[in-house]
Amino acid sequence: MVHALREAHRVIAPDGVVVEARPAAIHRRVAVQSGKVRRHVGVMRENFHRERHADRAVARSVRAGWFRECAVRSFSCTRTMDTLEDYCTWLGEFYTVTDSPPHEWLVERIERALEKAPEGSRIIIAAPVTVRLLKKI
Amino acid sequence: MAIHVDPEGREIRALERVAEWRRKRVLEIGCGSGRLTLRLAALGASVHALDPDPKAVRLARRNLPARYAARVRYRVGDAAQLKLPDASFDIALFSWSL
Repeated sequence: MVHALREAHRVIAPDGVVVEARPAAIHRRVAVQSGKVRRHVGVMRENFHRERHADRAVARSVRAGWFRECAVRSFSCTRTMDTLEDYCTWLGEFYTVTDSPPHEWLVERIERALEKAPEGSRIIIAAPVTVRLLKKI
Repeated sequence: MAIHVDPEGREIRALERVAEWRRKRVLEIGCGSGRLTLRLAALGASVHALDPDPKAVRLARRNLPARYAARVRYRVGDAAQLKLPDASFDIALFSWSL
Protein backbone atom coordinates (compact mmCIF):
# COMPACT_ATOMS: atom_id res chain seq x y z
CA MET A 1 0.00 0.00 0.00
CA VAL A 2 2.86 2.38 0.77
CA HIS A 3 4.37 1.47 -2.64
CA ALA A 4 1.09 2.43 -4.32
CA LEU A 5 1.10 5.80 -2.55
CA ARG A 6 4.75 6.30 -3.53
CA GLU A 7 3.87 5.60 -7.16
CA ALA A 8 0.88 7.95 -6.99
CA HIS A 9 3.20 10.64 -5.62
CA ARG A 10 5.55 10.10 -8.57
CA VAL A 11 2.90 10.29 -11.32
CA ILE A 12 1.03 13.36 -10.08
CA ALA A 13 2.16 16.88 -11.00
CA PRO A 14 3.87 19.10 -8.37
CA ASP A 15 0.56 20.76 -7.41
CA GLY A 16 -1.41 17.51 -7.73
CA VAL A 17 -3.49 15.69 -5.17
CA VAL A 18 -4.36 12.16 -4.14
CA VAL A 19 -7.99 11.47 -3.31
CA GLU A 20 -8.38 8.33 -1.26
CA ALA A 21 -11.86 6.88 -0.77
CA ARG A 22 -12.71 3.67 1.08
CA PRO A 23 -15.14 2.25 3.61
CA ALA A 24 -14.34 3.26 7.19
CA ALA A 25 -13.44 0.59 9.76
CA ILE A 26 -17.01 0.46 11.02
CA HIS A 27 -19.18 -2.65 10.77
CA ARG A 28 -21.67 -2.66 7.91
CA ARG A 29 -25.35 -2.60 8.90
CA VAL A 30 -27.77 -4.83 7.00
CA ALA A 31 -31.48 -4.06 6.66
CA VAL A 32 -34.50 -5.08 4.64
CA GLN A 33 -36.35 -2.18 3.06
CA SER A 34 -39.90 -2.07 1.71
CA GLY A 35 -40.95 1.32 0.41
CA LYS A 36 -39.55 3.87 2.84
CA VAL A 37 -39.59 1.47 5.80
CA ARG A 38 -36.14 0.03 6.63
CA ARG A 39 -35.97 -2.83 9.13
CA HIS A 40 -32.58 -3.52 10.71
CA VAL A 41 -31.53 -7.18 10.41
CA GLY A 42 -27.96 -7.36 11.69
CA VAL A 43 -24.42 -6.06 11.71
CA MET A 44 -21.65 -7.73 9.73
CA ARG A 45 -18.56 -9.03 11.51
CA GLU A 46 -15.41 -7.81 9.86
CA ASN A 47 -11.80 -7.91 11.02
CA PHE A 48 -10.69 -4.59 9.40
CA HIS A 49 -7.10 -5.79 8.87
CA ARG A 50 -7.00 -4.18 5.43
CA GLU A 51 -8.46 -0.89 6.65
CA ARG A 52 -5.94 -0.59 9.47
CA HIS A 53 -3.10 -1.47 7.12
CA ALA A 54 -4.29 1.25 4.71
CA ASP A 55 -4.57 3.79 7.56
CA ARG A 56 -0.98 3.03 8.53
CA ALA A 57 0.17 3.41 4.91
CA VAL A 58 -1.47 6.85 4.63
CA ALA A 59 0.04 7.94 7.98
CA ARG A 60 3.45 6.73 6.82
CA SER A 61 3.22 8.65 3.54
CA VAL A 62 2.38 11.83 5.50
CA ARG A 63 5.25 11.24 7.97
CA ALA A 64 7.61 10.64 5.05
CA GLY A 65 6.77 14.13 3.73
CA TRP A 66 5.17 12.98 0.47
CA PHE A 67 1.72 14.42 1.24
CA ARG A 68 -0.14 16.79 3.54
CA GLU A 69 -3.66 15.79 4.56
CA CYS A 70 -5.96 18.68 3.57
CA ALA A 71 -9.50 17.39 4.04
CA VAL A 72 -11.39 14.38 5.35
CA ARG A 73 -15.08 13.76 4.70
CA SER A 74 -17.42 10.89 5.47
CA PHE A 75 -20.75 9.86 4.04
CA SER A 76 -23.05 6.87 4.38
CA CYS A 77 -22.81 4.63 1.33
CA THR A 78 -25.51 2.08 0.60
CA ARG A 79 -25.54 -1.02 -1.53
CA THR A 80 -28.96 -2.36 -2.52
CA MET A 81 -29.68 -5.93 -3.56
CA ASP A 82 -32.89 -7.31 -4.98
CA THR A 83 -32.59 -10.90 -3.76
CA LEU A 84 -30.92 -13.11 -1.18
CA GLU A 85 -28.93 -14.68 -4.05
CA ASP A 86 -27.49 -11.24 -4.83
CA TYR A 87 -26.44 -10.88 -1.20
CA CYS A 88 -24.77 -14.33 -1.20
CA THR A 89 -22.93 -13.49 -4.44
CA TRP A 90 -21.67 -10.23 -2.95
CA LEU A 91 -20.74 -12.03 0.29
CA GLY A 92 -18.58 -14.49 -1.70
CA GLU A 93 -16.62 -11.59 -3.22
CA PHE A 94 -16.49 -9.87 0.15
CA TYR A 95 -14.86 -12.93 1.79
CA THR A 96 -12.11 -13.08 -0.83
CA VAL A 97 -11.21 -9.43 -0.29
CA THR A 98 -11.60 -9.09 3.48
CA ASP A 99 -10.84 -12.51 4.98
CA SER A 100 -13.83 -12.01 7.30
CA PRO A 101 -15.57 -14.74 9.35
CA PRO A 102 -18.59 -16.61 7.87
CA HIS A 103 -22.00 -14.92 7.91
CA GLU A 104 -24.42 -17.85 7.53
CA TRP A 105 -26.26 -16.63 10.63
CA LEU A 106 -26.90 -13.30 8.89
CA VAL A 107 -28.01 -14.97 5.65
CA GLU A 108 -30.61 -16.92 7.68
CA ARG A 109 -31.79 -13.74 9.40
CA ILE A 110 -32.14 -11.92 6.07
CA GLU A 111 -34.06 -14.89 4.63
CA ARG A 112 -36.51 -14.78 7.55
CA ALA A 113 -36.88 -11.00 7.28
CA LEU A 114 -37.58 -11.25 3.52
CA GLU A 115 -40.21 -13.95 4.12
CA LYS A 116 -42.08 -11.58 6.45
CA ALA A 117 -41.57 -8.47 4.29
CA PRO A 118 -43.84 -7.44 1.39
CA GLU A 119 -42.91 -8.59 -2.12
CA GLY A 120 -40.35 -6.35 -3.80
CA SER A 121 -38.47 -5.65 -0.57
CA ARG A 122 -34.74 -5.14 -0.99
CA ILE A 123 -31.63 -5.82 1.06
CA ILE A 124 -29.69 -2.72 2.07
CA ILE A 125 -26.10 -2.69 3.29
CA ALA A 126 -24.98 0.63 4.74
CA ALA A 127 -21.48 1.66 5.74
CA PRO A 128 -19.69 4.98 6.16
CA VAL A 129 -17.10 5.78 3.52
CA THR A 130 -14.22 8.16 4.23
CA VAL A 131 -12.73 10.42 1.54
CA ARG A 132 -9.29 11.93 2.20
CA LEU A 133 -7.57 14.66 0.22
CA LEU A 134 -3.76 14.44 0.27
CA LYS A 135 -1.82 17.28 -1.34
CA LYS A 136 1.56 16.51 -2.85
CA ILE A 137 4.45 18.20 -1.06
CA MET B 1 -28.75 -10.19 -10.52
CA ALA B 2 -29.17 -6.61 -9.35
CA ILE B 3 -26.66 -5.06 -6.97
CA HIS B 4 -26.52 -1.27 -6.95
CA VAL B 5 -23.68 0.56 -5.21
CA ASP B 6 -24.44 4.04 -3.92
CA PRO B 7 -27.70 4.53 -5.86
CA GLU B 8 -28.11 7.98 -4.25
CA GLY B 9 -24.80 9.19 -5.77
CA ARG B 10 -23.40 10.33 -2.41
CA GLU B 11 -19.87 9.25 -3.25
CA ILE B 12 -19.53 11.44 -6.33
CA ARG B 13 -20.99 14.38 -4.38
CA ALA B 14 -18.36 13.83 -1.65
CA LEU B 15 -15.64 13.69 -4.32
CA GLU B 16 -16.93 16.91 -5.87
CA ARG B 17 -16.64 18.61 -2.48
CA VAL B 18 -12.97 17.71 -1.99
CA ALA B 19 -11.59 18.45 -5.48
CA GLU B 20 -12.25 20.13 -8.82
CA TRP B 21 -12.51 17.43 -11.52
CA ARG B 22 -13.38 19.42 -14.66
CA ARG B 23 -10.58 19.30 -17.28
CA LYS B 24 -8.31 17.41 -14.88
CA ARG B 25 -6.11 14.47 -15.83
CA VAL B 26 -7.19 11.77 -13.40
CA LEU B 27 -5.54 8.45 -12.66
CA GLU B 28 -8.15 6.17 -11.10
CA ILE B 29 -6.57 3.25 -9.25
CA GLY B 30 -8.94 0.33 -8.70
CA CYS B 31 -11.61 1.23 -11.24
CA GLY B 32 -13.30 -2.20 -11.18
CA SER B 33 -16.02 -2.29 -13.79
CA GLY B 34 -15.96 1.51 -14.17
CA ARG B 35 -18.79 2.54 -11.84
CA LEU B 36 -17.01 5.66 -10.59
CA THR B 37 -15.01 6.24 -13.80
CA LEU B 38 -18.11 7.20 -15.76
CA ARG B 39 -19.25 9.57 -13.02
CA LEU B 40 -15.85 11.28 -13.09
CA ALA B 41 -16.02 11.53 -16.88
CA ALA B 42 -19.46 13.11 -16.52
CA LEU B 43 -17.85 15.78 -14.31
CA GLY B 44 -15.50 16.64 -17.20
CA ALA B 45 -12.35 14.74 -16.18
CA SER B 46 -10.09 12.75 -18.49
CA VAL B 47 -9.63 9.42 -16.77
CA HIS B 48 -6.89 6.82 -17.08
CA ALA B 49 -8.47 3.98 -15.13
CA LEU B 50 -6.51 0.99 -13.83
CA ASP B 51 -7.50 -2.29 -12.26
CA PRO B 52 -5.53 -5.49 -11.67
CA ASP B 53 -8.52 -7.67 -12.68
CA PRO B 54 -8.62 -8.23 -16.49
CA LYS B 55 -12.25 -9.41 -16.33
CA ALA B 56 -13.34 -6.16 -14.64
CA VAL B 57 -11.42 -4.11 -17.20
CA ARG B 58 -13.05 -6.02 -20.10
CA LEU B 59 -16.48 -5.35 -18.59
CA ALA B 60 -15.64 -1.67 -18.09
CA ARG B 61 -14.53 -1.34 -21.73
CA ARG B 62 -17.75 -2.98 -22.92
CA ASN B 63 -19.84 -0.56 -20.85
CA LEU B 64 -17.99 2.59 -21.94
CA PRO B 65 -20.43 4.95 -23.71
CA ALA B 66 -19.19 6.39 -27.01
CA ARG B 67 -19.51 9.96 -25.66
CA TYR B 68 -16.71 9.29 -23.15
CA ALA B 69 -14.48 7.19 -25.43
CA ALA B 70 -12.06 10.08 -26.10
CA ARG B 71 -11.60 10.88 -22.40
CA VAL B 72 -11.58 7.47 -20.72
CA ARG B 73 -8.95 4.75 -21.04
CA TYR B 74 -9.10 1.45 -19.18
CA ARG B 75 -5.93 -0.55 -18.53
CA VAL B 76 -4.98 -3.64 -16.55
CA GLY B 77 -2.32 -2.56 -14.09
CA ASP B 78 -0.71 -2.77 -10.69
CA ALA B 79 -0.85 0.30 -8.43
CA ALA B 80 2.55 -0.49 -6.93
CA GLN B 81 4.26 -0.48 -10.36
CA LEU B 82 2.66 2.16 -12.54
CA LYS B 83 4.05 2.13 -16.06
CA LEU B 84 3.31 5.82 -16.44
CA PRO B 85 5.54 8.90 -16.79
CA ASP B 86 6.34 11.20 -13.85
CA ALA B 87 4.03 14.17 -13.17
CA SER B 88 1.52 13.15 -15.84
CA PHE B 89 -1.71 13.52 -13.79
CA ASP B 90 -3.43 16.21 -11.73
CA ILE B 91 -5.29 13.80 -9.45
CA ALA B 92 -4.70 10.19 -8.41
CA LEU B 93 -7.85 8.61 -7.04
CA PHE B 94 -7.75 5.43 -4.99
CA SER B 95 -11.32 4.24 -5.32
CA TRP B 96 -11.76 1.68 -2.52
CA SER B 97 -8.41 0.22 -3.51
CA LEU B 98 -5.80 1.24 -0.95
